[in-house]
Amino acid sequence: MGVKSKIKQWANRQVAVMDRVEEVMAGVVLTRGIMTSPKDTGDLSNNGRVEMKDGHRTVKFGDEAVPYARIQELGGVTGRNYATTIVGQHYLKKSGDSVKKENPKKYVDMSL
Amino acid sequence: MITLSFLKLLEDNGFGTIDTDLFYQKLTLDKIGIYIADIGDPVARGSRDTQSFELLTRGTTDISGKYKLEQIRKFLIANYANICELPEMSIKVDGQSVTIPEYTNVEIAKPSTITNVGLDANKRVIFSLTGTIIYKEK
Repeated sequence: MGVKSKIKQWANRQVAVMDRVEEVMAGVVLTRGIMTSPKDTGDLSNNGRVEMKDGHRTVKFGDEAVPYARIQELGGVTGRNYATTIVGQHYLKKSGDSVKKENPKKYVDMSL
Repeated sequence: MITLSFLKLLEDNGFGTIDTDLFYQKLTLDKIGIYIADIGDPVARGSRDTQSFELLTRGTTDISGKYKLEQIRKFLIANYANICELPEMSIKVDGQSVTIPEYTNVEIAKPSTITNVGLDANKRVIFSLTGTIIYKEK
């Protein structure tokens, strides 16, 4: 008499849960990034999105339409003769860090 | 639309006014108030659906935003089992009339603790609370 294993179903269920956890966490990083990003024209905060990359989700701000997303995040010099200094706001880092410091169980609960 | 219905519940319980200091999905606004955002898509859970949400506040002072979220959290913990139905209603959002369907078998799962997200570009503290609503659309 053989033993019926349900390990495959269990593993598939865990993969689905972790995928949902990743979706929820990326969504929270995005909403917090939008809230903390600098707002002048609103283009930068409207530009935030979640993208799939190599099977995982990535929160991104900036593209050809909003090339200044990086300098607003990290800071740097810009303009003629690099005369303008922009202080980095770290809006994306702040939102990512705030999610990282929370209990991961919270996101597992939200995924169910 | 369940989160809009939920926002209306907050309005009805004195936590603010929609489009004045309660904002539905409009995270890009730079105003003082409470913002709600859907987190991910609704997921089926048996005969009901679940929708995760995040409430974010930007207060006039460092503590006012957190205080408001704490009041909402207390309200949700005290009433999570009492809010069984969210009625159909018509409200105005951005000057347009929106009809929200009726939701039954509503359960608002215990909300998270309050997280300090950090300062926005105008040095105002952003606080966050997350939660999940389990519901059935009638």
